[in-house]
Amino acid sequence: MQDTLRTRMGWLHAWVGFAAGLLLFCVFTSGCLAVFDTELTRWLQPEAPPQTAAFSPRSLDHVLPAVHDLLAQGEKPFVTLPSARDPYLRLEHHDGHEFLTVPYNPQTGERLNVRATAGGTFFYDLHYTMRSGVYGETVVAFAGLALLLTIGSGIIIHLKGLVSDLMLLRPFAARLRAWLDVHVVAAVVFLPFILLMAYSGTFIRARTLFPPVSYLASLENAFRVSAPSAAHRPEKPAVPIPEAFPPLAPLVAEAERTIGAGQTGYILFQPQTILVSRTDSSGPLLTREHVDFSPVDGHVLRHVLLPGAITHTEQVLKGLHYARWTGVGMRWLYFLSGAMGAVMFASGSIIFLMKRRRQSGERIMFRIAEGLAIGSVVGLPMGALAFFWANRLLPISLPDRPLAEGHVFLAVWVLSVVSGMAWSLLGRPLQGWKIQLFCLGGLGFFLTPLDLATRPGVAFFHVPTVFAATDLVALFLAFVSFQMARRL
Amino acid sequence: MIALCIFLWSLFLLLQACHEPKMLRFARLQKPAWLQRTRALRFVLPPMVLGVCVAERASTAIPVWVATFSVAALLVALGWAGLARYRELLLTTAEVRAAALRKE
Amino acid sequence: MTVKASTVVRPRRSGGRMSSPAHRWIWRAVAVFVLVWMAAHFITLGALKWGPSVRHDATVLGQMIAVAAFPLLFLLAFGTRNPLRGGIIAGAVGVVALLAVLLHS
Repeated sequence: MQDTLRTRMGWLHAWVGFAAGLLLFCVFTSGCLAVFDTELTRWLQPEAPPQTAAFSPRSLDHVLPAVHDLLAQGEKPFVTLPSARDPYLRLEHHDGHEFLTVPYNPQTGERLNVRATAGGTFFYDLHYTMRSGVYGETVVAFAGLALLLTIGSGIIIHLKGLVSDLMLLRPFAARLRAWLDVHVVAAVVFLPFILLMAYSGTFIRARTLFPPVSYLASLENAFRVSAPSAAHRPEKPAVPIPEAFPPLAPLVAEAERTIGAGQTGYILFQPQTILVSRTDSSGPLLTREHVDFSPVDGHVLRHVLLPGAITHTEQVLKGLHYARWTGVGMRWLYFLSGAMGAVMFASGSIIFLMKRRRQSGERIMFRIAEGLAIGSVVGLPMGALAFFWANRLLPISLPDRPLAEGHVFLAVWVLSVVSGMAWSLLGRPLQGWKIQLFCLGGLGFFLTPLDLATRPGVAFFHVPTVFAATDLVALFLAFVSFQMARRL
Repeated sequence: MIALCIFLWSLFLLLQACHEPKMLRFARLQKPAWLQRTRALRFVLPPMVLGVCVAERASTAIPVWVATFSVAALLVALGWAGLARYRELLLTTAEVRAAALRKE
Repeated sequence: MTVKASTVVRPRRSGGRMSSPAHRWIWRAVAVFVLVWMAAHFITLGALKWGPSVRHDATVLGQMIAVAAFPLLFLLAFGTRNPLRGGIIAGAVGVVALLAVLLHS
């Protein structure tokens, strides 16, 4: 191999890309599902009817007893107001992993009797922490940096053909050529999206990589804290929770006078304040502007809107990354772009393995790498579909049901990795790919019958809903999986 | 609005593909004669799409403009691959027929 | 036919194994990574000194620059033909960033 700029960048692109690519495939796949988190939550709580009555601000007061209970448990509950995207009033709180949500009738404030579920935000948590807390967050942020490196080196390698090969896709050419075309088309065509997501995503979690304190000082602090025992630290006096909250409708009306009519999105409850916050759907600038009220008598405490060009830049980056301002059309564009990002990582990993199979196919490291690729590229979508199956098949009365759904997801994913690794180590990786692709196809294909069989009040001929969209996407995934398994 | 943007971008990218010798060779096509007359249109289309996006909602115009470009490019790439395959099969069949006729 | 000795391609060997450029690139990548990471870290720290007076804004600005600078600097340092020159570029940026932390009043 000659030592030229192109070969150096090719080497960097291949190794950094493969090492981070399998994780980034999971990040992009879960990210494009998280774009539809609210819609998926509606699929996962099929008892809630698709259409509901118009919102009445008086219904808010019926949620207050449940808010009080959650505050007493030390949670930070918030109420999401109905919107065009989600017609229900929802009481939510974060359980350490995802936002658990209970829907209420937006007109009467009556609690809807729905199953407990981790909901669509399961994929949101998976997207940025891999369900591993701050450690997962750091690893994902680090993978984001690796992605930026891979994109840069990829552009340098492909600079000559960047425009001429923009739409050159030859799926019926030789296998390696065809996969290379898929990789290049997915990467170059969706480069603006992938670059934006890589930069904004890494920046949002930059505090885990580049904290604004010296590493030396952090180390010193770590040792200093560990020396004396923390057992005798006096406990913080608990902040008393008010016995009764003021009526919420006048508070929302007052907040709308400041924020703008129809611009309120959330009401966050804390023992000392009630924050009425601007809806995220108001625009790409994610200001989170809020008006704070006293929880005792409901008088206005303050209006918070962070000023400054740098803060606005941060808010735009967050707004563009979270995509909460988007309508249905733009949301689908985000979904499609995320899916193409996942295709880019999957095809890149496959090319990496194909190029090295002849020379290193017998090596143990190669086999492990291929097993991991099977477990990642096919295993994660399988786990996601298993999550949907678990939601419909697990008993409604099961204690800790949201956690059980997560465990099913994890079990199927681990099983897929183990099985992929076993087939690969036995020297029959194609068998591993084929079996898992058929399993993925089966899970996707039968999701529609499962949905029709387990959804209360199912009707075949009604306006397209989140149910139809979810089932059709699963069917499409099944079709692609069967095709790939057939052509292997 | 998004559908209109995707349509206009697809038109632009089709014209662009017709200008690329590599793309023409892949689909076994000759450079069409009418392409010279569409030169102005090729340069007008991207700002026109941007205009449509700005008219719809100025604050979100750039993300919509870029995202619709990506989707349109994907659609054109898939369509062009289909066209190339169709022409390949067509020409192969014609060649087989011609060979058979020559034998007769 | 006579061939000049300097034009004959000989595989370089060390300890019986051929030394491929990939082996050297690993160590080069590791060295560049360390230098560039330190530079990005100092940029984040320095932003609190030379950046806006509001701490939140200064931190955000520093992280924005660090995240953008990391890949650019890495590719620049790893892309140069001469490894030493790449190291000097990354090191110089790191030193400037460090001086900005130490010397800024």
